[in-house]
Amino acid sequence: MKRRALLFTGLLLLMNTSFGGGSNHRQLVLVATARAPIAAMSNSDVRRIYLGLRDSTGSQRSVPLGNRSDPLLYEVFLQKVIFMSARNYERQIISHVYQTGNQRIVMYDSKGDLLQHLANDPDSVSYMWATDGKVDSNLRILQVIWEGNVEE
Amino acid sequence: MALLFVMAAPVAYANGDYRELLFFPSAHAEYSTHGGDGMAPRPGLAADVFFASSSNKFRILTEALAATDDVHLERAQIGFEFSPKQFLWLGRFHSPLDYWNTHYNHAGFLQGSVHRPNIIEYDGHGGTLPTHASGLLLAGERNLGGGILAYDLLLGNGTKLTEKGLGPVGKISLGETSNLFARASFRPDDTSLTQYGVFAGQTNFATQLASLDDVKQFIGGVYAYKVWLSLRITTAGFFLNNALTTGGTHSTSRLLAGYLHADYELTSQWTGYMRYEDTLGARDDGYLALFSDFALRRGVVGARFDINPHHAISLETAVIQMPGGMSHSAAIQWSAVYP
Repeated sequence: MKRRALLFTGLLLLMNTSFGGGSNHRQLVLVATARAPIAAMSNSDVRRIYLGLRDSTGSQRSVPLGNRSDPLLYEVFLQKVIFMSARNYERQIISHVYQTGNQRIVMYDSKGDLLQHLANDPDSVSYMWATDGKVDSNLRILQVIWEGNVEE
Repeated sequence: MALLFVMAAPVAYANGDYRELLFFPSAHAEYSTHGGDGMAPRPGLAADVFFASSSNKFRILTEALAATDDVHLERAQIGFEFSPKQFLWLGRFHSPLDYWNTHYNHAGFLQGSVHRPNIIEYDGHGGTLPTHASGLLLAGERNLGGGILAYDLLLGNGTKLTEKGLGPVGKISLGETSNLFARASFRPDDTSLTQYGVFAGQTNFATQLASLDDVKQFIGGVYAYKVWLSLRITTAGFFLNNALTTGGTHSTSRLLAGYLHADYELTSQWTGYMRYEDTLGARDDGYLALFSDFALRRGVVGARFDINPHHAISLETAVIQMPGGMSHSAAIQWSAVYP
């Protein structure tokens, strides 16, 4: 009986791996360089600074860097944190600069360039998969900004 | 132009100073039954260059437009941030009227449609309202009940009225001509794009028309910009009181004008849009009679295709009721933004 139950459980696990449609549990994290004097912030503040607005304290110390090095990561960030399509988001960023003269959010298509900017500027923050943030000892994970299953 | 890009490429410095450059080129061809040349295509090219620089608490914004028929300095302003989110500006600005005037203006790529609503047409291009003003502008925002209350208060040097339409006054002459504008807007959620606003303004024009001695215009209005997922609504209503003096005779006329514009994202690249514009009391207005291109009513339908994040093609058709009769137009436009 016990052997049958184990076999059944094993089959279920195998089916989940084989037919699960590539669904994967992921965590999206906000990171800064390990020596950054930046504290965790609310998800609303993450959204504020990535829309080019000041955070709820009124300061503008954190410099947000856009991470487009992974299309899936970028899409999840926009959908789950910013709540906008890429087209609307990028147009909104330009519109904000055009209207106010505020600084434009720098977007990085290369992970290497992004990590280099993060290392050089302790005031800068960005977002990435937790799996990437954890393996880099030069980075500090400030907080998880979203987690859930993503279809890959 | 290449030199301009090299000199003014976006730069951020370690001390927080930065500079930004945006370049909005566009090209369009329009077919219209209005204007006397039948359905002959009217091509046009335009390049709008925006530059911003920030150092310490000072900020400079400049914007210039070069088009096939004109060259304009749209904005040239220097501002001091005297407290967080509060600026005092000196220079030439977009007048704080509705959402369209301050958020899109000459950045054709941002506005989506080929044409602006007629009531907010550019003052140097046949428009009836002073869409630009020079002087002092106090602008800021405050947190209010989880939202953001923003305000603008402008004391301007005035606007002149000539045979060619409206334009800036060349010298400081607050006694003879002036603009005074005030606007307040509210964003219920400070991370949302949705906002509602009210505005009011008084302009004493410097007239250079033999037929008019004096024109005073009061503008009042409300606007809203609302986003629901794929749908964006931009709307505004204007009340105008135009007081004219001719040879010692005074006349006053009042009118209402407004528009409702809807953009809907059909796919990741296609956006459809519609706009309805209307006026009430405009047909007999002595001031509007000075502007031959002012439309009493207009219906616009269009589609925009975003080729990539920097380029878009828009197709637009319109039915327009002019004081002299109906006209039709069709336009195609390429617009872009760099970098």
